[in-house]
Amino acid sequence: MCPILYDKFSPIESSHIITTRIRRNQRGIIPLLVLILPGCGQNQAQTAKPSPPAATVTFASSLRGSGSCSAVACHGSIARVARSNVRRNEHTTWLTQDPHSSAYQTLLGDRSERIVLNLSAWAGPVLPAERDERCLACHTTPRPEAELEVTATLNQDGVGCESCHGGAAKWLGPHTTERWKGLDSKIKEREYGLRATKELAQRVKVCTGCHVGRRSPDGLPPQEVNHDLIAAGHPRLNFEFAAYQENLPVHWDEKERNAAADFPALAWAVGQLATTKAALELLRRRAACGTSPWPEFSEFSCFSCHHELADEEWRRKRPADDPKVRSDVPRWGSWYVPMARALALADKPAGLDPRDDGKPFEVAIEKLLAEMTKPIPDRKEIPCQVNALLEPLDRRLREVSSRSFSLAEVERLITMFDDPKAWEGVDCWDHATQRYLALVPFYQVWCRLGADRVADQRKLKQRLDELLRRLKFDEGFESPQGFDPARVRK
Amino acid sequence: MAAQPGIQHLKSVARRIVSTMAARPSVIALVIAVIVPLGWVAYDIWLGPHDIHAPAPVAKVHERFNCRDCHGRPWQPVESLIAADQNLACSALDEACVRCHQGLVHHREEIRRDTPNCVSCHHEHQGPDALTAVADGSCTTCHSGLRTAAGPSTRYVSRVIDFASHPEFAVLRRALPDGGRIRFNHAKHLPPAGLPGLGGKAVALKCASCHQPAPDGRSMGPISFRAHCAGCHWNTLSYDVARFRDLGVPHGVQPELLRGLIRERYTQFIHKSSGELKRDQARPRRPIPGWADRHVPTETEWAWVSLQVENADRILFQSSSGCRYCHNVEGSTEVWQVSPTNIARRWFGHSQFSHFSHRLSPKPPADQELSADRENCTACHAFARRSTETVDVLMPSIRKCRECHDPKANPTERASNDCVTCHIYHNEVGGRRPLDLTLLLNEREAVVKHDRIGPQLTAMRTRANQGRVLPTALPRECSSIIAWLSGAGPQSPPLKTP
Repeated sequence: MCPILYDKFSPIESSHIITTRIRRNQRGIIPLLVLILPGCGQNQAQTAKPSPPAATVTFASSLRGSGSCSAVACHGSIARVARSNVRRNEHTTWLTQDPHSSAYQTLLGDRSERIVLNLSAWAGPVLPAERDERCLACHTTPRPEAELEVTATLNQDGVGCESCHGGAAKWLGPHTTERWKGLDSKIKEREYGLRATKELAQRVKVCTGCHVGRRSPDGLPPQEVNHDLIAAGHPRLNFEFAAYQENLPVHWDEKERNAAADFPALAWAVGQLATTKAALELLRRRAACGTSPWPEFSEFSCFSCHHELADEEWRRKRPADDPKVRSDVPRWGSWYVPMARALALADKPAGLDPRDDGKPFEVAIEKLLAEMTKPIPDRKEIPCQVNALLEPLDRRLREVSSRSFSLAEVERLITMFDDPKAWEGVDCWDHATQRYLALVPFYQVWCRLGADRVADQRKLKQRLDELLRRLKFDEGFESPQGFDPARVRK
Repeated sequence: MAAQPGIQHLKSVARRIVSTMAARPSVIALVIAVIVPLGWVAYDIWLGPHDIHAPAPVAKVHERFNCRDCHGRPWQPVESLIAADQNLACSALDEACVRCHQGLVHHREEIRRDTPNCVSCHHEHQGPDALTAVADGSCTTCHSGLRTAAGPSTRYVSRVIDFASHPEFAVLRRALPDGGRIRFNHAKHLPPAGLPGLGGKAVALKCASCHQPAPDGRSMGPISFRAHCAGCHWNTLSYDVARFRDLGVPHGVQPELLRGLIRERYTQFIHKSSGELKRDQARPRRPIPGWADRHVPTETEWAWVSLQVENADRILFQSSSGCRYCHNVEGSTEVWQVSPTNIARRWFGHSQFSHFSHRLSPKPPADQELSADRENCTACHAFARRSTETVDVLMPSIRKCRECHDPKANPTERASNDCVTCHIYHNEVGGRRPLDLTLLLNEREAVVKHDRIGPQLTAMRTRANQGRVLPTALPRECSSIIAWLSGAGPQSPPLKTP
């Protein structure tokens, strides 16, 4: 088993570093796997499949490549064009500023090479990253394996236009016509395959395909970063939609509902629920697939297993919001669940079904958490439990998507999320970071709506800056080594 | 009956002369009978006018020539009549023709022994226009049962006796692909509703937007990036719109050179604006705990430049919107190589077709006017608007030719369809035809362009095109870079202030 996972060094290098550190440091920093469960699922890295033979039939791919969008008068203008319904420089923005455009080149880098080396150390020979379909599934435009060979030139574009907007075969021609403007986005999606990314829940779904993971039934290769990959050196997928979107060099203008002042809060709320939904769907598929490792460790909090051996008092305690389990038990869904849960309980929009006070969601999630906290969760049980949870989650997602956040609502939610009692329940870095990431958009909306609360807002800003500082990884590490929940509590 | 006495009289006179001569052979008469004709012949050969020997006038282009210019030795026409090998001895030797005309090999697989002399097909002394009016029989002598140097022909149709039995054009018959190595989709460029234009208005491209006739009017001129593609796709040459907004890389230069150019530009840039080093280390707009700084910190100018060059490399040579937008780029990150475009310069190499002569063809329907302005390329190149792949061959079938050059129709009601209507026996070799001066001129210009005034010429043309083709200052910048790349300009390219 590999030692430090979140260290910036490879396992091979880090074992050397560990021994040096032990000599230097009497506290003895040793990575520990708390749970060593015989037979808890063999985390065998999939051995690389040989590349498919050159296609003998021409494959009618639905993809046309990002280049197809890049004519100067289409979306490849070097600057934004005034008096135009779209910016016209979308492709240029993506190509020159968006990290998605260099996703494929990442596979050619040193880190990718190291990951492949580490994988091959315990899984036998593996293909180079730029040819391994597991990597290409997300580092290029996702497409069925059979298409990889014939559409190899698409690889160089990384995550291109069609990764998010859908294969352009059907809409590339029609979308330049006058008639197109009058079409409903649902028709565009259903009949032409152009994804309706204006709708937030849809947009999040597009992102989560790679940023959470998906095993899609539509012939696409599995898109997932499992424990094997993380152990080999791939960063863990800690996806938070609102924050990621804000860091993206946007190539669009938010319009209509999305142009409102409360958009950051809405993006966060929809993002939380839709991301959790994606994580649950992935769990359901992993449970149903007999050959995938079980339980999948990447869904658990890394740092409940990988931490220092020194006795840390807080780990023996039971968190206030969930007294059934101790903090040192590996926590399933530590990244996706806490804030979605908090949102479901705290947020009661006006049009909410009176029978749904967040309880059905709460009951279902508790049941699932109880199962997933067992050393070996029953994988036959999981799909039913996930289905039971998805129903209230979907309902809540629909409600949240169509609501707006007033000043009073925003202030109430800030108070709830930053409540000292709520912080008492924080027992891991994942939860703390998610709570911080939740506060930021509400702070932004607060600043926009409540111009007369400058003093309070400044206080919250200071608190957020402080939180950020404390949640940051130490220099030279890719893990929150020495993290103590007390440091972030109020 | 009145004529009878006259005839009787003539007969008696003749009898008298003959009997006199036979009876008294005169030396003087003999001398006159032999010397005078010989003298006259000698005079005629060296000095006199020769028209008397010519069965008919020669072609206009040859009318200033002496007999000997073509016939060589004085008695050659006579010799040719009695020679054993008619191929070796003919009234005019091939050497005489190739003094002015390049005698090109008809086909590399031809049987040399069977190769006819010039005069076998080109009959002189038949009037001013007959020289090039070669009868079908000259061709079908061989093509009615074609044999090649390697035996019976397998590659070519061996029996062609007239236009009716002419096979389908080889490229269509054999279903060969277009060998061009460029990505081009005709259908995408010719949608009925037009393409989005720069001003927001739709622009309808026509075939003639790109396919313009060559100066000889026959074939189509070459496609060039600057004249035909740059209007909409000049951004394929740009790589850093934030710093070098309008300063792309020059077209037609291999990546290796371009990398050097880009490195030079960034080096100059960072010398002038060292603040950029710090700017790239800026934190992301919305910090996320656990995220490394988004931008790789670059402390040295060298590292900064290398990072930018790497990024430009990705955009220009790897992404589908750089060189690969049209070209095939081979190699790896170490060495990229843009493959030659291999666009066919001329189709149907065994024929001569003049687009100019066909500008009114095919005949429009009765209700439409016959006008040269009506572009009707698709009447023959029917598939052009629907073609999506480079491999598509868009040349028309021979059936299309037969609509007008109909072999079954009455000769007065159809366009001519003898062999020489389309074919030229002396095939183009090395891009050259016997008397194609236009091509020679073009060639000369090309040589001059490359050797002597290349960069200046390019710059001149660029400036001429500036207003029409390219919307920004790109061409001027480009031309100076071309000058720089070809060593004629200053040592460093002029930098635009970002």
